Amino acid sequence: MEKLQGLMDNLNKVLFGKESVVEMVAVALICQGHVLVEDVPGLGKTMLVKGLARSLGCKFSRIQFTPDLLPSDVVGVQIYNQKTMEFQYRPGPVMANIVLADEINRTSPKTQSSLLEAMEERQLTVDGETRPLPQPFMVLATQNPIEYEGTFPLPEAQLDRFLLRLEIGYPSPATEVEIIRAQEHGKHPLDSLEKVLEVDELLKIQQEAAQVKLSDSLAAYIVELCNRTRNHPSLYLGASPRGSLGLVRTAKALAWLRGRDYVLPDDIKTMAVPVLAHRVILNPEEKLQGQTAQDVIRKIINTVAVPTR
Amino acid sequence: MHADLIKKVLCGLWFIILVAGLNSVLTFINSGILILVFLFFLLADLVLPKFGIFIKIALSLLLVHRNYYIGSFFNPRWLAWLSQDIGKDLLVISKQGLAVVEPVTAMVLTLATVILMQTLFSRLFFRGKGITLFLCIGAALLTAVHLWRGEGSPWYTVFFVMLGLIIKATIPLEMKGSFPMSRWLRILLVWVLVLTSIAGALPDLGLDFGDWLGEAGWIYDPFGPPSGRTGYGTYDGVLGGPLEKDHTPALRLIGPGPLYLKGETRWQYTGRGWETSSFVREMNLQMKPEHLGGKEIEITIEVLSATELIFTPRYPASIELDSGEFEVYLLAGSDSLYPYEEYKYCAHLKAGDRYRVNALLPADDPNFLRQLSNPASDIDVRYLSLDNVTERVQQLALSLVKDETNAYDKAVALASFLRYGWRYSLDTKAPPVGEDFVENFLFEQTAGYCVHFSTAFVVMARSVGLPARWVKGYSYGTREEDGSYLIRNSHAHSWAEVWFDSYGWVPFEPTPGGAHLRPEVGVTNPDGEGPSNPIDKEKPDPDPDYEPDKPKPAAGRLGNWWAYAAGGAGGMILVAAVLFLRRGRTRAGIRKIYARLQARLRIFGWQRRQWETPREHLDRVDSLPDRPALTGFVRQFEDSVYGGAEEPAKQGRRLGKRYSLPGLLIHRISTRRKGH
Repeated sequence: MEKLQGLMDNLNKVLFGKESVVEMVAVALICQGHVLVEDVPGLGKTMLVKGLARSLGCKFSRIQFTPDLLPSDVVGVQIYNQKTMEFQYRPGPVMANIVLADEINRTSPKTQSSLLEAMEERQLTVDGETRPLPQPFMVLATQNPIEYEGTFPLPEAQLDRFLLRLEIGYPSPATEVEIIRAQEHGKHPLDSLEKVLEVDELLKIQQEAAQVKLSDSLAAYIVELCNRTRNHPSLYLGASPRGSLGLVRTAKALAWLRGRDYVLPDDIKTMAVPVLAHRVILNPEEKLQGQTAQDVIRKIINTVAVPTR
Repeated sequence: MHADLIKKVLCGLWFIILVAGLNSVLTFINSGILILVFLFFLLADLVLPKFGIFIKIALSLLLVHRNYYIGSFFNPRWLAWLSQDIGKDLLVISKQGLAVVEPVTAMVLTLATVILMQTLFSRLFFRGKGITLFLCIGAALLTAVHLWRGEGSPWYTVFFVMLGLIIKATIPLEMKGSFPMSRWLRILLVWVLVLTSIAGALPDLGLDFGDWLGEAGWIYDPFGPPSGRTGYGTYDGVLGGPLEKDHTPALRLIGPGPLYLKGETRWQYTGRGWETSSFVREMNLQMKPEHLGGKEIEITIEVLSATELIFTPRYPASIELDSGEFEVYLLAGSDSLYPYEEYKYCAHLKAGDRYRVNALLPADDPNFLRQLSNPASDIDVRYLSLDNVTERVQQLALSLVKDETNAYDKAVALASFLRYGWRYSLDTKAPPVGEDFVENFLFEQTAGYCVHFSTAFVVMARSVGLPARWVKGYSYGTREEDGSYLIRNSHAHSWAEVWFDSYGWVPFEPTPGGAHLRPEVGVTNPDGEGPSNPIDKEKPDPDPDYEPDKPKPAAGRLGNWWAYAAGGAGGMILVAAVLFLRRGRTRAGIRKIYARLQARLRIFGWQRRQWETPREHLDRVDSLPDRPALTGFVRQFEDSVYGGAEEPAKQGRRLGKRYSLPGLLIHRISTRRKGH
């Protein structure tokens, strides 16, 4: 608990004034889930991921997705070693603990699916040979929501593999001043970060968080939330059971993170938007009216009765 | 928050000006009372927005009941009377205009208007619009009423418009807050409709809740036993019911001897009482009857409690006020064939005012009266009206006078019958719904007071063809050391007058001379015929407060004793029940306590919304008292509900005190805030 708090403190040092985002990242870490960050460049996504890798003392890599990127550039290739007369595996950047997949929607579906397969299976298959990915393994993918030209939007099935979708958002003016001041002397706060959490400890935390209690009434509440997305008039497609599973896992992780051994409805409400919003599809006419999936999920949260029995 | 309050106060003031302006012209009810009522309404709206309308209607009904009806508030028969009265009065108004409105209708109309306009007003304002509309309607209404009646002050209109413009100009009314009354209003309307239709249907069904509700009145009526007080009232629409003696001094008579002082007369019997609506017409004063012989006296009357009526002996020759003027009205006058019609002398008299009256006391010689023609022909037929007189009463009256040959002896026979047939008592029962007042008195009750006797006399006299009317006023007071007569509210009295052709009205006293009535000069009573005055003028009378009460019937006393015993037992059971429930309360599960807390908060609009988590609710409603305790309680609640923790042994006790209904009410008043 203290260790994870240290990790969050570290992240807060590099990402100023975004405690809720940091908390979400911590939740994703506990759940071993992948995160899709949807935001414009320059808000500190890379810093966040680097800070995370450094605090964990594990391997970090970054893939900048471009239209001409090939799957082998992601997962690695078998090359023929003339000395040994054998094919040798040259691991790609995905063979790391924390992977930052920048602008994932800029590359071809083929390359996208190679990464997404690795995310779901937590293993790579290169030329018929299966290799496990290192533990822990977490992908933070980013998407630019503004520019749509020349992009390949992720299909629904692949979006579903992200546990959370986050938006970082611009910092407040006061925070921005702080950011400027912190980097004034050419020294980045990232450099001062220390490793605070061992990988073993993280695995233990993950086990603990899974033990957090979820009452029957709240399980029903989660199901009801997801069910509402399936019948909602503004939504073309609702959340899958994977969505409700994700909501359970993340709510438990959040409860654990906040020092409780049971889930509160508040935890579920907090997690509902990041977990569910990217799993539903808005009706075209709603989209035209400027509605967003987040709005719809928020509306649903504000109509389902919270169980108090 | 302060701005919000100022807004509300300004708007309230605006509304008060409108109501006061309308009321000053229409003079429905006393403006002071109206403003008090209005302020109470405002308080109800502010403190309990959801139940405001309910409280207002309940208060209005209570006001109407206490002012005009007898019997228990919870016995629906008075609602039936009310609807009858209003229906009848509306018919009269439609023919003759608002000037003849009965007080009860005026009150109901005024209160209904205030409630309606206030609701409309707040609805408009909560939507943040309609100021201009209200300004126009209000100003038009005030001006129209002013022009129509030609009286009242134009300043109300001016103030109304000015304040309206100020409100319009300075306050951007972004007052929010839903107005949660529509549902209650609907439920209430249905409730009122159902209740009135039930009440209206009661007489037809022959059901009578009167008796058993009346018997158990002390259980159902939290405002004490259903009794009125003695005194000169202005409303005679419903007679009967128990009375308590009220010894408040009313007048002091300084004159040669004790006298009956007359206030008003009534002629139209309704079956429940006397039609009160005064078909008044201003008249030139014509008083002194030339042809009547008698004694001329001069008396001075000192007013001890403010009054609007000038009480005089039978035939006032002149009335002289120390200050101010008085008005003379001809009551129920068609044409003034007779100089001794029903006059009513009115003035605004305060305690301490005095007036002098020169009056003629005719001798009313029985032997002379016996020779007068029979039947009377020289009289308006309305004094012979047999409307609402039942067959049974007529038969009885006819059988009583079958041996008499002249009008005077007939009247004496009827008066004697009443004086010796029934007991005098203030402790009577009001007649049940649908039953005739006189018939009930004559055939079912064993006792009554002046109203019973005099009404019965008038009705019976008419049944045998004697023109008669009902007279209200004061009987003798008690003689004081200084020779004056102190007249108290307990001396308020009613008697009857019978018309004799070419002579005039002759008073008869059908009430048994018991408690405070004696044979008197000028009032014909069958004990000692003719003028008689057996009172010792030199000695002061004993104080009426020392008068031994008439012994109550044993059953009544026993009944009272039983009532006390039952009341005591009931109280003990109640205390035990409360203790038992409180014991249960500490044992109640935390979920139950939470649900109960929410139910209480709901009354004030502070409850958790369905989709809110307990914490979100706690954060939203930040004006609740003793937040640390509440927060602790909510944490315990969460532990137990979501965490499955053992319920703590003692929880909610501290909360119970702070979150009791009175506690919350006080908190609501002290914060004056809507639980948005």
